[in-house]
Amino acid sequence: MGHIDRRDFLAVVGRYGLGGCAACVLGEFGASVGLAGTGSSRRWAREVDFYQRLPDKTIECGVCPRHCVLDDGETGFCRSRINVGGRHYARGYNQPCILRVDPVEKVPLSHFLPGVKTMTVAVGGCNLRCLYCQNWQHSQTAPDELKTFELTPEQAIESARRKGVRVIAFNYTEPVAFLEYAKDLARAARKAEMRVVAATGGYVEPEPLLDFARYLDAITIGLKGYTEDFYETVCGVRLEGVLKSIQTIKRETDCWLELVNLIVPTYNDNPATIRKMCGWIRRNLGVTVPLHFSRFVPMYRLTNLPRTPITTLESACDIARRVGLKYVYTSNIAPHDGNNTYCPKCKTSLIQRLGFKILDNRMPDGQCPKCHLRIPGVWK
Amino acid sequence: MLSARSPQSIIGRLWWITVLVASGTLPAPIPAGEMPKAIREKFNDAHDRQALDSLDFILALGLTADQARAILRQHQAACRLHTQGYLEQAELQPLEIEAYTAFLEESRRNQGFSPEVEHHTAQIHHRAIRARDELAEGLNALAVGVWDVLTLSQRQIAADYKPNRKAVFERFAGPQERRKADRLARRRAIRNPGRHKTCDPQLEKARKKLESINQAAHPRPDVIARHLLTPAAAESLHQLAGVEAPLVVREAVDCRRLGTRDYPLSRCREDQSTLHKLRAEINNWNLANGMHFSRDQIGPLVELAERAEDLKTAQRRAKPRDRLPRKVLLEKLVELELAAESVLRPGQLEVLRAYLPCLIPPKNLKDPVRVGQASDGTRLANWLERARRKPQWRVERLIERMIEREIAHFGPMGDAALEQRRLALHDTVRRAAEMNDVEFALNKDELAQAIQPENRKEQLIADIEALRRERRQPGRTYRFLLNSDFAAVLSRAGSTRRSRVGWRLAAPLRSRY
Repeated sequence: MGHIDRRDFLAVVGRYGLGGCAACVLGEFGASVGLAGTGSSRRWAREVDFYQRLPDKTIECGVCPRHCVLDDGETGFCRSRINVGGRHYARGYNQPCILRVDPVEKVPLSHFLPGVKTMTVAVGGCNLRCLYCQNWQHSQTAPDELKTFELTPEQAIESARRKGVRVIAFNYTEPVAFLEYAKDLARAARKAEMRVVAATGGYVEPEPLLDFARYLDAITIGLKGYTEDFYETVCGVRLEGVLKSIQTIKRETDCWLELVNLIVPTYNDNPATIRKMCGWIRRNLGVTVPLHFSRFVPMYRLTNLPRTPITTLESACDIARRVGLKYVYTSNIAPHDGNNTYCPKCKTSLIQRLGFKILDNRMPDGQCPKCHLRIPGVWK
Repeated sequence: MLSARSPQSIIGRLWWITVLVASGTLPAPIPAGEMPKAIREKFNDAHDRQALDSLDFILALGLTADQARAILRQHQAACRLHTQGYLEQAELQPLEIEAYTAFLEESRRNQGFSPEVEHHTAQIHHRAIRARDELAEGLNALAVGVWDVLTLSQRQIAADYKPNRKAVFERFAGPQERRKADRLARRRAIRNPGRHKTCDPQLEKARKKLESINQAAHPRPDVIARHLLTPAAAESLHQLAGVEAPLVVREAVDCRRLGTRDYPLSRCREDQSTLHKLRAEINNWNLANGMHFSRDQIGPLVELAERAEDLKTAQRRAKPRDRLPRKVLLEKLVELELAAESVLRPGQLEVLRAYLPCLIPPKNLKDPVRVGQASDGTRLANWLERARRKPQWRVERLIERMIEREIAHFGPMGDAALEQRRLALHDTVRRAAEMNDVEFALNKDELAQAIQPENRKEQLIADIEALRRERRQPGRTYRFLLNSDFAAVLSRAGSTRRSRVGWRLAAPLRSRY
């Protein structure tokens, strides 16, 4: 065996060391986006539908109005899309981190098949940064950093069918952050004659939204406040984009729409702003869009604030009714009158709820039994 | 001027004792020369009342001097436990008052509980419960030795024993003491007119079952521990045994009668009463906050509660001949109860139906699952999640621990029920282990529901309520809502809501963020 000097020894070790490290890093990285191999491992990443290629392997994401410009290897603001060699990939494809069977009231949807069970699917990541997020462990984490299930859309449909669930829901995290998976799953659900509902913050470009909404039966959009200041301070996005999405859904789709407004004490509980918001809803969406006022509970980064006083929620409901909205609800407090559905004409109690539980449903066909007024919604 | 036959004069006492001994009324084991101190002195002292009960128990058993001597060892140990218990109470009660006062403040604000206050309150509360349970368990363990000393017939008498203070008076007291005792009894009856029990066998049976479940969760001293293994029995027991009470017993008696220098009995009683009031108010706030009464409900409910209270007060103050017959009174209260129920919404009735008086409200009242919240599932679902990944021998251990906890909470199970429960748990864990992760995630709530232990307590409460309805007796709505304490809480809640205290509270907090 030949003799090598110290310099040669270090060079050899260095080369092998670097090579090993590179293999490890590439392997990890590739595995994380599903590109390390072919065939089965490719199932965990999917190319994004809406993005633009720029020079030098840079891309511009086109899913949400943030339009992240990403260099090669960079991840978007939502933590769920990555630029790999100038191509935009969705991470966490086929990897939901939450899988549950829940009532549809938890979305919340009050005018959509009351009491029906949904198979709720969520993937990690979110394009909003709400300070009070109640699922921050999932939404503010990249999909591959969470404990996940391996579930293709076809498998999900099969599981739902076996479980006897006829509605698929996207809730708990932001479906915009996993739009590719949500869309494929929704398409598969449609094919299997299942219903699909989603809860979203609504910060998405019209084109991807319409592309997704094709497969949706109902959508709940969180209109979290009505000032740019609130949206920028608390949610880290712009109000304008959300309002545009709500209008797009109402005007250009047949999907059933409900709105949620979570009232955070001192941030968005100003009666004048609530009145303005209700006025906007009335003008742009009509008086029959159900509006849910939700109670804030100290959470995530807003633990210094108290819960929303019930009087504030009740006052908000009063304002909305005075503006002319017909279906106004309160959520996150039960038992409360605001959980129930009443006929706007004769004030008959139509659906009595205790939280997410239906205590009494007197209008299975969507018609008031007393004055026969048709209540808008999806009842069958 | 004392007459010769007055029991307070020495001649009078001797005369009475001679008469009693001659007539054979005075039992042989009690030395004839001594009238029990409790009768000799005063009756309105709790220690004296217990001393009378103990004496009555000893007389009912016909305890012999030998038996009394055999019991003394256990009695001494029990006295030591009682003294320790008092010292622990002296330490805990002020802490409890402090914690509950802070908790009450947060309950009144109805903005949820801060984790520190809630945790501290729960900790102190559990410590106090544990201290009580340990004292009861210690006494019951000592009572086992006493049961062994008793004959079969004595055991039977002890098992069926019901305190009868009157019998002791009839044996020992003179006319003046009897008159005083009667007066006290009358006063007590006037103070608590509704306390006398209904003689409905079905209701009694259900109540006894409920009592046995509660007893399983938190043991209480048995009849021997209550009447013999107490400092109050020291005088009678030592007199009967013919020995002097040792220092440890005398200390326990003093502790019982006067307390300690640092924590006198008067302060202990005062603290107990404060604690009782605090607990009652917290409980009322828990219910009021959990029911989310609207402004238009508060007025009618307060009015109905006041009417019910007026009715009870009038009944209490009226002369016996002017009082309403019990049936009529109950009928009127039921009417008020139905009126209150008509004010409530179905959701509120549902909450009331399942409500149990509590210090820290259950999760569904305190912090219900919110819209869009990915909850972690129930306790049992989480248990299944853990168990399904464990090897068989660990599963066995988990199941045994689970059964132990259930017995502690829901009362003892028979052998057959125990085996059935074990099988059900095994079967469910096996099914959960056979599922893949996706299947388990979708089915865990159902699996957890399938192994939900039978809540016999809830069932019994529902049965008692149904029986009351059937017999036109006031039930839970009356008990929880139609009283002056709840009316006061409700009025305060109403005024708080009008003043929007929460908003004012939030403003300075935001600036800190």
